[in-house]
Amino acid sequence: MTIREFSALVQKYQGLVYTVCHQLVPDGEEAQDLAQETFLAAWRAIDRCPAGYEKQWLARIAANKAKDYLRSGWARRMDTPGDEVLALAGAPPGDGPEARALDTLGAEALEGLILNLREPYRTPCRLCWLEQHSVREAAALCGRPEKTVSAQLTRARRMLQEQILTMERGNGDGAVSGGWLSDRRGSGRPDS
Amino acid sequence: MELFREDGCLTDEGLDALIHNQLDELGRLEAAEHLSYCDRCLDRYTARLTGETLEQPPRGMSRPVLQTIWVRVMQNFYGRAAVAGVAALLALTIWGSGAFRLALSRGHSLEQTRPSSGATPPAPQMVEPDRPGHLYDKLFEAWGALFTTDETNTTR
Repeated sequence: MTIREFSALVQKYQGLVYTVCHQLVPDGEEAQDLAQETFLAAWRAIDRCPAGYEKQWLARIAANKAKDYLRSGWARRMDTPGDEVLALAGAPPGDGPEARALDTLGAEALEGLILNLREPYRTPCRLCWLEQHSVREAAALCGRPEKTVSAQLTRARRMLQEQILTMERGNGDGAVSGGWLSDRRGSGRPDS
Repeated sequence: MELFREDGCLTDEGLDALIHNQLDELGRLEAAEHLSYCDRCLDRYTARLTGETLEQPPRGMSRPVLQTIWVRVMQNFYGRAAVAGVAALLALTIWGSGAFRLALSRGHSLEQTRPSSGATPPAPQMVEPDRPGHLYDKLFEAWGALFTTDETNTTR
């Protein structure tokens, strides 16, 4: 594709690409930058563009750019939990936080929490944590990229952690209090 | 509002919410992740981006994009030209120092001084370097002398 042809492509689809970027990233300036990056990436990979599918191809690149932007922003704000949470049924016995979580909540309750997660988290969590598939296997089984599954598992861990903390707070000094989550909460622990 | 269906795809109301900027940051991230790999949902989404829902960028994109492409093409071109120029300069410098010719001549002379089986060995013929007084030549001579036979040395 010549520069002139590519210029025509930019003219034709700049509205679409900007719209995708702006709907996913509300900041107008960022959306404009992402849209430009989309076209630059498209130019670099123009040979791989399937003929007749330029619209979808550009929208896919724009969604990818927006996803990377949102994901990095999300990761910056959230302190990513480690592996402290929730290996479930079939987890090896030990003194680790997983074992303590199992002791505290019980495997069934924890399994219930996982199965009550909403999509898009439930399927990869079920595959990885309940059915003991690797991330790669889970990605293949649910037809998602491996990186996406990893990111979803990380966010699901956080969601479950927050749910368990909420349950713990709700129980006050009850059975759950004093468990591994209380230790991790540190100064955030409510006085009781 | 449910953003995802049970089969993991985006719901119609989820797509509408995305188009009308009604999703929070996590929702937008989840939608972007899904659109980056799901062909069906991408088709459904782009099919909705018509008419009023299609925005125009505040500034035209064609010019800055093409400028950036042009700059990168030029950087690439000049970068390669600079590397080629430095390589050529280095080659010319080494050539001008006589190192190539000396190395070739040393190789030739060693071939000649190798003792042949049977008959009387021919008298070694040292090929004189073009610039015998040059530092490189002296270094090569000294190095080559370490590997020459006694016979060769005596004939010299």
